[in-house]
Amino acid sequence: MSKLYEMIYFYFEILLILHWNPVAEVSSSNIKQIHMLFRHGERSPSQLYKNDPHNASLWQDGLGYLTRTGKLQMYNLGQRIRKKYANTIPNFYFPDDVKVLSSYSDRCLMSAQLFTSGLFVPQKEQIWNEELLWQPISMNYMPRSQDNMIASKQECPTYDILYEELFKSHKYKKILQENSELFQYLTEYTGENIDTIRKVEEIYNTLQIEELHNLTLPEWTHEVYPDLLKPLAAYSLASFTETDFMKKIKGGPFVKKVLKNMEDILDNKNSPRFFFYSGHDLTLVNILRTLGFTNEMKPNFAAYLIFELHNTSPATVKIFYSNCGWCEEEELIVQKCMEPCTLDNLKKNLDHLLPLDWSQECNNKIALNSDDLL
Amino acid sequence: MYEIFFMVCALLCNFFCYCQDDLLSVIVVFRHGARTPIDPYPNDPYRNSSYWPVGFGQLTDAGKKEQYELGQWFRKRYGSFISANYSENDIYVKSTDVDRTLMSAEANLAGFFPPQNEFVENLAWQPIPVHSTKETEDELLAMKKSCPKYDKLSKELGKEPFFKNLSHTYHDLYAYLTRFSGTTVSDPDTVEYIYNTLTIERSFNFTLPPWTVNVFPKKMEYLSSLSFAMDTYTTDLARLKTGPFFNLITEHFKNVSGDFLGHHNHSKEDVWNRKFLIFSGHDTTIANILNSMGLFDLHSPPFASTILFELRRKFDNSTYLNLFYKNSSNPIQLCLKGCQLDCDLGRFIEILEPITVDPKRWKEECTLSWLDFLPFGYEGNIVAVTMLLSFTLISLCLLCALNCLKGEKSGKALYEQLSSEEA
Repeated sequence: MSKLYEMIYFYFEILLILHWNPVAEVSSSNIKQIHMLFRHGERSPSQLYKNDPHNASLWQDGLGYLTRTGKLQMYNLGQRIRKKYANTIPNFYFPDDVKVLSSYSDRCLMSAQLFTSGLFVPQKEQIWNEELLWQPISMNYMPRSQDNMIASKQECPTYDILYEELFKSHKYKKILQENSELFQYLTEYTGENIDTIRKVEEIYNTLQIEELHNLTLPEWTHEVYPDLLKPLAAYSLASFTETDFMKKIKGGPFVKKVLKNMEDILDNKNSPRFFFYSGHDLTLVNILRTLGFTNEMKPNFAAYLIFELHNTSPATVKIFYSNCGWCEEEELIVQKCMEPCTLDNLKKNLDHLLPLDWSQECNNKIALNSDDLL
Repeated sequence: MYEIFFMVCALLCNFFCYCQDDLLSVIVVFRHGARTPIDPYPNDPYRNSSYWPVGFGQLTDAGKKEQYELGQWFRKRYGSFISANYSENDIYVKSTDVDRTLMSAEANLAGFFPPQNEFVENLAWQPIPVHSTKETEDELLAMKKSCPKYDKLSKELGKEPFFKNLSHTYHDLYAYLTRFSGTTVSDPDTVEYIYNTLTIERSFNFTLPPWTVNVFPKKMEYLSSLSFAMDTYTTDLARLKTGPFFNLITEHFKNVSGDFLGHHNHSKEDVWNRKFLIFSGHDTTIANILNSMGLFDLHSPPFASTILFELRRKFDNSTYLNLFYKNSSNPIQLCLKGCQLDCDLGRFIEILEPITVDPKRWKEECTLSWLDFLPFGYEGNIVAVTMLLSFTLISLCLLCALNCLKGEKSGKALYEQLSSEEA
């Protein structure tokens, strides 16, 4: 009887494993290069709204910092990727083969450390301290003012003008009109002057995090959160890459770099094999939209995007996205680049969105008419 | 009666003597932990990377351990000053943008801040941000941002009699090393580069090639050590090399002490105002900082060697600095020339003034003026230019005078002509 019980249990366990392992292990390793971009783990709110009943002292690590859960999310994501690429990414960490690039912000730097700690748990000779199964991993970041790839905060005058124009467009005015009651409602209850979608997004973020931490949201939120706020928050993220030109400025540099690194390694130029980028929800949205995935979305904590370069002939690229560190991965098919999507074909499809000379394009004078651009 | 009075006195004295002055802020600068050679010399029998556990110039396991232990030592020394709970409001960590220094900083922090509350069971580690700036943009710590004026001064240093003589004195050693190493050796820097590689190979218990017996380590030691002093050999060199660093730390101390009225206080949020600053650099960083302050005994700063700046406040409210250099288990206290061991902060800043320069001024001072392009040395150039200017001026005057004379004549002639025409 007990044996039968064990068998059933075993069977269920297998089922569970099959079912609950949303990331398939990549078996054969003909992967030549991997680029992975992730959003940092769960953080405390960056800012609280004026009438927020929960005050800042609740967040021990300070505002905008990773929470304990957030740390675990990133560490676990590292372990998930270790499992997924067990046959591709060596167990040993070799600094020359692994490049980690982060946004300037502390939560991204820390997320990158956590992710790599989960990915490269020291093995055998790399155990330098029996008591501590951790090893330091080298990483870099660009200062905020010089980052046009991850934080995307480098100054771009032409872009700024276009972004301003966006808010004068019919589309945007219509959104404001349609939501004018909501804006009023939010202004009344939050104590902040809510008059842009960006501000709606900030309120949404704060409420979402508070909810995740089992804090009771005030009565007034039930009317609007999350259903009414979420689409506006998502649109706020999408608004940065409304037009092709905006995609070129905000998402182009990253995509261009990925394609360039892929070409380099195929040309046997000295190039690392594994690239990890630690960024924000906006980074993911900018790049997804540049790739042509324009469904408005709000990437969750530890959401990630992977580019695999396969050593086929000719070389092909596979793209995967997961909306959180523990969600199911889905393969993304770039338009007009049906499988197998070759690197050359991908490049051709995206070429018009890759900046030739970013700084120059940022200083080009453009004749403006907001509605023509949309 | 007397006895009681005496006892009270003794107690009071004890109290004051044992009550250490308040620590206000700490700045530490360390060299990374043990690494493999950066680039073995051409004839090195261990040139093949397969001899080494990690890539060239990378931190070894021993190096990680060294830094981890240094972090534990910080925890012990500063346990009552820096909470065991890591807070980003307490510390700021800056590294040069090189794998081994970035990793050293992280390993150090793992020892300094083991988590109080592990987020992964049985993993005594937590993430702490380490900041860095591209080497070519980093005048503060890597000290590698381009400075044409520095390069020029540095080149001129080689022409000083002392360094010219050096080439004579060590001609044989240079020739010997050139012959066996396979690279041209003609200055202390290159000797250091080979010395450094040999030292690491020895520490790995590798058998060194027979030719090294004659020169390593003894005969190469002096030049290797000297190479570390050359970057900051004169005040001018020191100022351009380490000026931004000293500017940062003196500004930091001014801000933290709050003693400097009228001093423009940076916002509380300024990361440089946190009470514990950690810098992760190289042997050159250590040597440059010490030598600029006149505190460098010629030597090669070992792995994980550390400079400690500690700002304290006395019970009479005055602030002073203690300086330590730790290149073995115990730190040695250093005494800045012209100052006490407990160096009054005001005096400290005053003494360092000649080698302190803010980044904006630094940039200006790094620019070569056209005066720098003449070949007579700085003063010589001024004399030459002054002479040239005076000569030009005098010539101009003469020319003018001549012209005027001529003009007068021709003017008259013209006038005569005109008048005759009119007539």
